[in-house]
Amino acid sequence: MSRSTCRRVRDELPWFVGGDLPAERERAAADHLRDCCACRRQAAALQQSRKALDEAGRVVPGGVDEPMFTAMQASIVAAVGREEAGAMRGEAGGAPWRWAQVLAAAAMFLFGWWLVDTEAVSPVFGRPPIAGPIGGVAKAVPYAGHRVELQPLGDEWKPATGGAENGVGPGMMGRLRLRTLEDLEDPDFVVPVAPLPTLPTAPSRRDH
Amino acid sequence: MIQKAATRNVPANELAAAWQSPALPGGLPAAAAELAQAPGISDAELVRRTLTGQQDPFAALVARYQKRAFWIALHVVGRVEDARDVAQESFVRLFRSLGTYDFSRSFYTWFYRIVMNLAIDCLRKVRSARASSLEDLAGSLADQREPSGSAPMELQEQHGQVWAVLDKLDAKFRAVLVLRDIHGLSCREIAPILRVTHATARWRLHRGRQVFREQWERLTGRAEL
Repeated sequence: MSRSTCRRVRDELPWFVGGDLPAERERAAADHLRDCCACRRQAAALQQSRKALDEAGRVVPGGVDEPMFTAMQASIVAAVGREEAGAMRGEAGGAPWRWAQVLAAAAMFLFGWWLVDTEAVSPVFGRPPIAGPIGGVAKAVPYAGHRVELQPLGDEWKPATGGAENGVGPGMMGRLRLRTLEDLEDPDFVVPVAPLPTLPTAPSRRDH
Repeated sequence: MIQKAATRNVPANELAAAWQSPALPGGLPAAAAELAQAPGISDAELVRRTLTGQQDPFAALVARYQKRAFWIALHVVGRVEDARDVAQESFVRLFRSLGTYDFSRSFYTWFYRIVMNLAIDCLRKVRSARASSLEDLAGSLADQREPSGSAPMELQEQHGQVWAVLDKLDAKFRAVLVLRDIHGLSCREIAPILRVTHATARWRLHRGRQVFREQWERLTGRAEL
């Protein structure tokens, strides 16, 4: 027997023992096994393990009988019935809930739209001025500094107020510029300066 | 979809009751039993009738396939309780997805695929959860698979060893061996069930038989040939 034939047949043995080879190759393998004792032993070992598997597959475990299958069938039919009824309940009860979800999503969208709309005056983020005359001169004072707006620099950029650029310097890495909205040049618009509190003078050592 | 077709104009409580009555002592409605045994009615026809909202055709499908589903699941997962759960869940999944059934394909291939997927998932869960040793496992499998008849002790031990060896195999090899060597399906039938090519199914069968033989000889103490 040539080694190459043995190798080829042994490679095909797992298929041969199960009858999974084409007829021609099966015949060739059978012819080889008739003459080759070593390959025949290999085939016998494979056949034996396969037979053990086949026999074990036919064993009926304890408790597996017709009543068990009858009970199983009833439980399957009941489970499918529950599934069907549940699906229908879901369909019937699901519609109002789905509408509520859609309405909630729409309300959240409108609220978000209202928040980001810069044109609208927002009572949430508006900055109420501290009103009232200070020293009888000022009209109003911004609550937290000047309101500014960032705009990208570009050739066609013009101040929205139409006045001179009141930029306070380049913004983020020179790409943005700060622009005040309030006109600081307005003489009526005075930022009050609170008088410094007078501190008590500490007695000097000479006084002792 | 099956749910829409089957539940048209039927209250939920009536529908749930309709699945269980009128029934034979075995739990199967009389009409369903007739359908299940009618040779002229194909599986695809039963699916078609189920999709129109009838319950009996699906009960007939259960009657036709529940044993096969159970045995395949048992040979893959190795435990009766798990196999029962897998079989039941398979039919529930089948019912849910009946609307997607491709009538040009074989019903049993499609259904076996559902069973095999669930069984392999179950096997992997059981394996990951199990902390007992191989010896304990072999013993428990041998106990569970004790034949109802009076099989010789040696044979029982051999069966326990077979399941111990199967349990050591990779799930993909075990699935092919179970379908081919125990249930007698061809590689052409196995390939679509496992969603692999025919060549892959053949290779897995080849490798699975080799590994099974090696493990079998190691466990039974037979000399390596």
